[in-house]
Amino acid sequence: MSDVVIRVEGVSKKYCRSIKKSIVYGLADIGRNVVGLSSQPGRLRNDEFWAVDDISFEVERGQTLGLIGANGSGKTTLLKMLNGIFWPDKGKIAVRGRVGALIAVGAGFHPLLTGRENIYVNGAILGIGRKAISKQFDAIVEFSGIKDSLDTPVKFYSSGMFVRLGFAVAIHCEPEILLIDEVLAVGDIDFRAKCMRKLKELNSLGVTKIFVSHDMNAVLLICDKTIHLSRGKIRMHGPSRDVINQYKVEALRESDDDFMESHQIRYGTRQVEIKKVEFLDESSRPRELFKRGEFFRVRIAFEAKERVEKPNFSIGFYTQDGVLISKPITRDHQVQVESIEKEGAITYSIPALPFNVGKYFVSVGCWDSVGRVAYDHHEQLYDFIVEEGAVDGRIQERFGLVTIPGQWEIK
Amino acid sequence: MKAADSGQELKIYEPDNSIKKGFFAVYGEIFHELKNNRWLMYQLFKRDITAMHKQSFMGMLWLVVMPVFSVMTFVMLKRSGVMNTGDTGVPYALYVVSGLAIWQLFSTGIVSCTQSLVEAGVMIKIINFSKKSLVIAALGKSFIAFLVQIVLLLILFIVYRHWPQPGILLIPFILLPLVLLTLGLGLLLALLNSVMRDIGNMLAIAVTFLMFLTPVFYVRPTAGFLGEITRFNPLYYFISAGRDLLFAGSITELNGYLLASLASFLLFLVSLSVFHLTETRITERV
Repeated sequence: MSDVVIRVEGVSKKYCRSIKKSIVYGLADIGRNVVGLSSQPGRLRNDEFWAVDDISFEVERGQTLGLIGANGSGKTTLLKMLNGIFWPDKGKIAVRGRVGALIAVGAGFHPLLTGRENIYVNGAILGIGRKAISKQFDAIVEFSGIKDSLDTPVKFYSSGMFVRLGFAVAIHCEPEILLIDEVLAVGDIDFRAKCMRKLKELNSLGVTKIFVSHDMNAVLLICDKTIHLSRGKIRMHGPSRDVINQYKVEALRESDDDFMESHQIRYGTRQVEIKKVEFLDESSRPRELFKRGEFFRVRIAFEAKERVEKPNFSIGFYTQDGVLISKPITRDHQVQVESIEKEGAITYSIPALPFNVGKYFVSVGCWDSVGRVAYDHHEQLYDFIVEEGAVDGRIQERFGLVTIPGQWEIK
Repeated sequence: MKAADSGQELKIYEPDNSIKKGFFAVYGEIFHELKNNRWLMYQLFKRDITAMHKQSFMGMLWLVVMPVFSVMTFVMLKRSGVMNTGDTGVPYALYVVSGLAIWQLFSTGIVSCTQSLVEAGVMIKIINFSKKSLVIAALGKSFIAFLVQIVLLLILFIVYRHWPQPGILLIPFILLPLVLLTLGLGLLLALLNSVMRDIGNMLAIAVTFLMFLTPVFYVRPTAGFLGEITRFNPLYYFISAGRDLLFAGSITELNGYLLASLASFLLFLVSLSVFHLTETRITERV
C-alpha cells in the first residue's frame, strides 16, 4: 500500500469578485449552516467564479510537490485549503499528519513586542506548545541570526530580519507536512542558502512538502513532481522537469513583450537595408520554436542600394532580461565578405543550439569594413523560443543559460 | 480541525463539513479545542496585555487615569446638580466606580472580542489556529481594566471610611455569567464583523447608548419607559448584584439575577456552537 498523506479529490473553490455581494453571500452561508441547511457550495452565484476548479492529486510521504502557474492561477487558494483555513466548495481533501505553513512568515508578529516575546506568541499560534518552545528557543534564535536584536521591538527590525525570525519560528514547529508559499524570495543570499539547506534536512526526516514558487530553478531543485495550474485547473502534472519546460514555453509564447519594445530600435545609413530575418531548421523551414541541441540557422536577406566593399555582418543573441549571450560578427569569425550589391542573403548556422529553455531576442546588423558605421542595425527586433532538448543527443543541463558540450573524465 | 499535537491524525476537509456534524455534537470538539489551546490563549492574552499602552510615556498608568477621570466627571455632574441620580445610599463615587467596573467588564470585553478577528488581520487568512482562542484571549484587556477599577474601588473605600461587606469576595463568581454573556455576544459579533464591518461601527454606538440605558451611574428608575427597559435588561441585574454584595451583603433581586444568568449561559452555548460551525466563513470573507 502506498503511503499517501495528502489526497485531493475533485476539489473546487469559488471566490466572489464584488465586496458587497461577498458580504451578502457570507451572511447567507453562515445563516444556512446555522439552521442546518447546506450552503449549496457547488453552485455559482452572481459575480462568483471558480478560483480552483476540479483539482485532484495525491502526495506520498516524504515527497515534494511543486505548484507553479501565473499569478491568480489558484496556487495559494489550494494551499489554504490543504491547510484547512477554509473548506473546499466541491470535492474532498484528506490530510494525514501535522501541517505547518511557511506562508507570509512573521504575519502573526506584534510590532510592539520584542523578538523574544514574539517567538513565544508566534510559536503558540503555529502550534508550538509550552514545553516545545522552551526546548526550541535557542535553535530558533540561532537559525534567525538576530541574537543581538532579541529584545528590540520587531517594529524596529529591517524587513529582512523580520522575515528571518518569522521563517525561523515557522520551520521549528516540527511539521509532518510543510506548505511553502514563495517565502524564499526575501532575505539575503546567506539566509536563502540556509533555508534551502534546512528544507533539504527536512527531506531526510521524511517531511512531505508542497512548494509554491515562481523560481523555476528552486522548484527543479526541490520538487520530485510538479503541477502547473492555469486558471484554477491542472494544466499538467508530472515530473518537475517536463512540467517546467512546458510551462516556460507556454508562458513565453503568451508573453506580450512590452518590456522589450523599449530596446527595439533600428538605426543606420541604409546604404544596405536588411529586408528580412528568418530562423530556419535543418530543412530550411522558418520556425519560431526550436529544441535545444537542434540545428539552427539565421538567414538575413539584404539589399544594397550601391556597391559596398568589405561589409561586416553581426548577430546578437539576448535573453529576455537583455543579457547578451553571444555576438557573432563576420570579422571576428575571420570571414571576409568581399563586396555586396543589389539583393542577397547571408546565413549563420549553429549545428547544435546550446541555449537552454527560454525566449531569446536577436539583433542583426550590417556594418562598414571596420565595424564603425552601421548601414542598418535592428536591435532585438526578432525572437525565438527554445524548449527542452538534448545536446549531442545526451546532455540535458538544467541550470544556467547555455549548455556547453564539455567532456568529463575521471583520472 | 485543529493541528493538535497528536501525531498522525487524519483531517478531512469537505464542503459544509459543519452541518454533517450537527448542532449539538460539536461541544466535545469545542472542549478539546479549548483544552489543547490553553497555552495559545495564555500567550495571546499576555501579548495583548504587554502591548497595551506600550508606545506611550504613561504606559500602564492609563489604566488608572481613564477610570479616575470618568468617575470625576460623573461626580462633578452630580455635585453641580445637572444630573438626578436618585438616592444611591452610599457615597456617590463608590456607587459610580462599582457600577463602571462591572459595566466596563462587559463593554470593553465585547468591543475587543468583536474586533479581535479583524484586528488579527492577515494572520487569520494564512495560519490555521484556534480562532476561538483569539476571541477569548481578547477578554484579557477587560479583565485587567476591571482589576484596576477594583483596586481603585478599594482605595475609595478607605478614603470614605466606608467598609465593604464580606460579599465582595463573591464578586468574581457572581460575575461569571456576565463574562459568558460578553463572550457569547462577542463570538457572534466577531463572526459577523469579519464578514461585514458595519457590526463594529454599530457596536461602538450601541455600547455608549446602552450605558446610558443601564443604571450604571444612576439608581434604577422605578417607573416610566426607562424603568420598564431596566426590568428586562440583564446587564442591570449583574451590576446591581455586584453592588448589593458590596454595599448590602446579599443580592436583593435574586430572581432577576438568576434569570439573566441562565439566559447568558444559554446564549453562550448557542454562540459557541454557531461560531464553531461557521468559523471557516471568517477566513473566506475577512
